[in-house]
Amino acid sequence: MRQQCLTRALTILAVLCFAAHLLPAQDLFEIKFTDKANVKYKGLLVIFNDSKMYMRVAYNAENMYKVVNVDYKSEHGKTDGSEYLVLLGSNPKFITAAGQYGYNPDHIIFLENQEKPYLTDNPDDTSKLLHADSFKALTKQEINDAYLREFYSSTESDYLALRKMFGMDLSTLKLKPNVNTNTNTAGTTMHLIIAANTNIGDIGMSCTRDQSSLTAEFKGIASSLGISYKQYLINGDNFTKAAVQNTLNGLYPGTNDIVIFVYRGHGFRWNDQQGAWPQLDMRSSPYTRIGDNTALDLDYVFKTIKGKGGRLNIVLGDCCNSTIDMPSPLTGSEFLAMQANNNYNDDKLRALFMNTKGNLLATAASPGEVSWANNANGGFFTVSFLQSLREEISYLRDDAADWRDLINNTVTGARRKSSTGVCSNCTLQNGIYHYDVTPKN
Amino acid sequence: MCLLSVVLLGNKSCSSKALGDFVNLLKTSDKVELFAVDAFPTAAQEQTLDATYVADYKVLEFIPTDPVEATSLTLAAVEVKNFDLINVKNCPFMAKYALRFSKGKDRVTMVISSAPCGKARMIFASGAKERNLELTPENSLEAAIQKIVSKPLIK
Repeated sequence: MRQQCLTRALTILAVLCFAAHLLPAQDLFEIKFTDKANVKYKGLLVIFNDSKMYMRVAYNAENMYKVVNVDYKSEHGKTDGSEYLVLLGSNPKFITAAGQYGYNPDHIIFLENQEKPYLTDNPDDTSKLLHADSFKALTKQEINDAYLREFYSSTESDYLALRKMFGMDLSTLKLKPNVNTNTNTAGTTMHLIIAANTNIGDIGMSCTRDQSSLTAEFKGIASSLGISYKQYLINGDNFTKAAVQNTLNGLYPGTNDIVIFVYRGHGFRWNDQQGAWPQLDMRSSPYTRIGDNTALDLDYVFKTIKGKGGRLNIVLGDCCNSTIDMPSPLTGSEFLAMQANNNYNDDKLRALFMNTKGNLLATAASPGEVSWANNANGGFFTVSFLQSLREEISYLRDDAADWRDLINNTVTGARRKSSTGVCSNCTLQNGIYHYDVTPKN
Repeated sequence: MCLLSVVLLGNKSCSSKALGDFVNLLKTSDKVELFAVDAFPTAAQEQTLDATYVADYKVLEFIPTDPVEATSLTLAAVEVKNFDLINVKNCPFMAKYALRFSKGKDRVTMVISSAPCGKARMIFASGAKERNLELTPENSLEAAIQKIVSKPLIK
């Protein structure tokens, strides 16, 4: 019985992992299903984030090959103690000729104990429920021009963007490091500092996951930009205030360097604290008491990094900002697992990382609020940041990459993930940020 | 959404089993004790003889409970709806109360961190690995404890 429950719990996590309230950004999924009249459908689900996605559905009917576009949004919740996720379809539009019949958009239902989802075009009639024939995340190797042409016409902007994204457009292939007349990447280093409380019992697994996602993402970005990459990991038994301070003391970024600091762990605020930014709880054992030697002000980290003189400084705190019943010490110092796909639009990457200067400080929750995580996906704020980053630098986006959009979308994404419609047991987290990024002269 | 209800009605949740095997001990315990405890545990080598400890947490106060209150605590401790088995809050566990359930020599202690950082830590006398649980915002466990600790003293 216990094994059944465990399997069930893991299945919930697996389902939520790829499809629930922490949907990965810019990933492609394929779903195949057959209706009662034995018509076979093949869908390409394109996910931007958990509130923005569409599916192209290809099928043969009326002696015609048809493709229809359906918009989707996700809803997640709990019924009778069980988790569910439904992708609600709307606004069907034919890409090919419509023929005589229209298309009722399908709703896709993920149940906690089913690997393949159910579909229905009529939520009020359970007799119309279909079990998908297959459902999978698509790998880069599975996507080629012929595959995309099953769903897109050759002139569609998303078709062209996906071709670029998956390296099919020879004109976009560039030797790396990319020689761009507008940016000088020579001598630029990206410094990624991650402090992640990977040992702590309650959130350690989610911190480990976020650490993996962040390192893979930024390493890929540095590689795409053709710049040097240095990583500093403060985790496990080394997760201490001293280790962060030593790392910051030993950090000497050049004037064209990028410094990114991400904190994943517990956070809090003293009960007499005035400032808005949280205290980072640098303890990896519950036996260690909270005090001046374990608490680190996120604002202090930001000011320290800012003072190092790097060109672009990004400081993120994915932690709570709720009050504990302790005053500040007198001597105190200032949710489908994402895989980095590295399909970056180099021009947008450069706009974001190479053509900007300044500072960005953000944290997951407002004063008095908690922030949320889960073991399958990581911290809601970190996941939202990575989703927003990918969306911002995507081939599928037409507008220019911009840090303010990115951090706005991060805060909005984390808030949505913690809203009752998505996470029934969560309380709302409203991230806050300080933004001072301008174009590089 | 009605479809979801229909579809999901067939899915019986794991109920209290989702919480783990210790639920049986909680349900069948013949003694339930409630303590107010220090926020942090004290390592064994630092514990003093003049103090009492529950699962390494220094006892600040023993809070007596009558049989009805003990039952309400037990029911709340095994109620699966009181725990979020998926999501966790990124806040530090600050113990406030400890519930000790005993049956013969078997003992399980549930240490409670109160809202806004509502969490529970299950600690087993057997030495089995401890279990961290997330309390839901409107859980009945904290409410049951609060009802007991806020009752007027009869002198």
